[in-house]
Amino acid sequence: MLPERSTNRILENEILPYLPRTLSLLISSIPRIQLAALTEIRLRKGKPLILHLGLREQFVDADGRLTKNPERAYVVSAAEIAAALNIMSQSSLYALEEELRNGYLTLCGGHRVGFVGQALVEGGKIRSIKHISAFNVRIAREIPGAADAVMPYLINMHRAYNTLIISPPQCGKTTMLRDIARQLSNGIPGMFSGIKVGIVDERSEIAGAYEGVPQKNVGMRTDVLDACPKAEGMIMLIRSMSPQVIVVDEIGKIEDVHAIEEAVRAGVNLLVSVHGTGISQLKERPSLHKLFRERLFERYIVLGCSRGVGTIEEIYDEQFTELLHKPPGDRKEIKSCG
Amino acid sequence: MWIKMLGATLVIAATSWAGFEAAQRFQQRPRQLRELQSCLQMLETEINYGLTPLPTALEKLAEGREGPIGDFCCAVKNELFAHQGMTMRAAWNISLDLLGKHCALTECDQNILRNFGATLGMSDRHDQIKHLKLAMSQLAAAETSAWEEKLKNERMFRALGILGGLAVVILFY
Repeated sequence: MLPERSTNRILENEILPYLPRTLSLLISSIPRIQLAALTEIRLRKGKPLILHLGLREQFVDADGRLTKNPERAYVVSAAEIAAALNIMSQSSLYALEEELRNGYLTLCGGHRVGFVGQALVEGGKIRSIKHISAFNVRIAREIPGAADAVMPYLINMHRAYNTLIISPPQCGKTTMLRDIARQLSNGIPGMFSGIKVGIVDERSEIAGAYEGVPQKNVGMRTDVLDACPKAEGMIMLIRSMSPQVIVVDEIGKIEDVHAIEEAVRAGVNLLVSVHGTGISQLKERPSLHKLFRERLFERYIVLGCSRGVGTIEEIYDEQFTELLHKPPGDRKEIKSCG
Repeated sequence: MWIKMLGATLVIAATSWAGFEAAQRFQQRPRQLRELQSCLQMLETEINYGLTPLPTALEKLAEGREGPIGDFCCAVKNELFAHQGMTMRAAWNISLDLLGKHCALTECDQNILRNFGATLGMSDRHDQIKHLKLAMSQLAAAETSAWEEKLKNERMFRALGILGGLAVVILFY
């Protein structure tokens, strides 16, 4: 469980100022101790306001109390959706061209806000989204030490192994990735001396960069290429910043796989995450097939939610031999999102 | 006798001042219209090439710009952050009412700005550029007529002030 203070700080400085006044007052009147595990705030036009607290779901009533009863829930109005868009875009819809095409934007602090509405298609491609009707505000948390338990498996004296983190959405994948990057970059006293890390942060979630500067602690030897497409970014980093490890989140496209091969051939190690529930399921994905056939990765970490968000379920080596299976009882839980 | 002289001087001074003040408006209006156009030109660059959000863009516009137009840009930005959930349109209109009290712009000029403010930030880039171009051409037309009026009226009002004062003095002396 997170210290209460950090949730407070994130909510007050980085989330509530971006919500319409009515909603921010409502949420701030909820006792903070109940919001410690807050991962998502969902606003849907004409539908109840829903908070996701870890794996639980709660409505909020008009007096700012959590409730399970949808009848009593506060209903988000059309005006509130419009106001939210206005605040998040800083009254400058034109500045969100790319974001409107992708369907999400990133707030200062690395919190991702997804939205849906009516897509405008031009030449078979999505040009923009209009009539936005729902928001999903995802609270990104930084948990230094989230990767403590896995670090010994990922490094030897000289280098980091090529590692793939496999996790369903919402099980702490990005949090884990960020903390591994930080520890590789800063080094671990007596165990590992820090190395140069390059992060290609396509969705601005790992480093939470705002105007190019990382807002999250990703380590002192880390260079962040913010908002850059993964495949191109990886090649750019190799050419320009001579990283020893490249970190990317949520691979999946065939270009990503090509870039990974390229990086491995260039002698750069990789730390990569992917959506999935296990190795066998991933092997069947056509775009990723090659990665497994050529055994590009030396370590596989499978995350899950069996014992709370961010449970380390299994760790495998390049021969798919299990190094760790099912967490012991005292395994540290990692509460987070993404 | 002395009191009469003093009174006469005061009357002439007052009417001259009023005349110069009226002339001043005609002198300043074309300048302010010109400055507004250069503001919008800069805004176009910020929107089109930088995709800069409005608060930052307005700050840049206000930088190094003195007088009512600079104050206006600054006011819009400040109003926008005055309270949570302020819309661009409301911030723009409040600042515009304030500007109206301190500038030489006519009601007609202010309406150009008001109409432009209603669209600012509300649509995608292409649409924004269209609105900017429209406002700029309207301001340019207003500027042309403002120069003509300046030529016609500036001297006239100054002379009218002085001569009017003289006429009053002569009539009542």
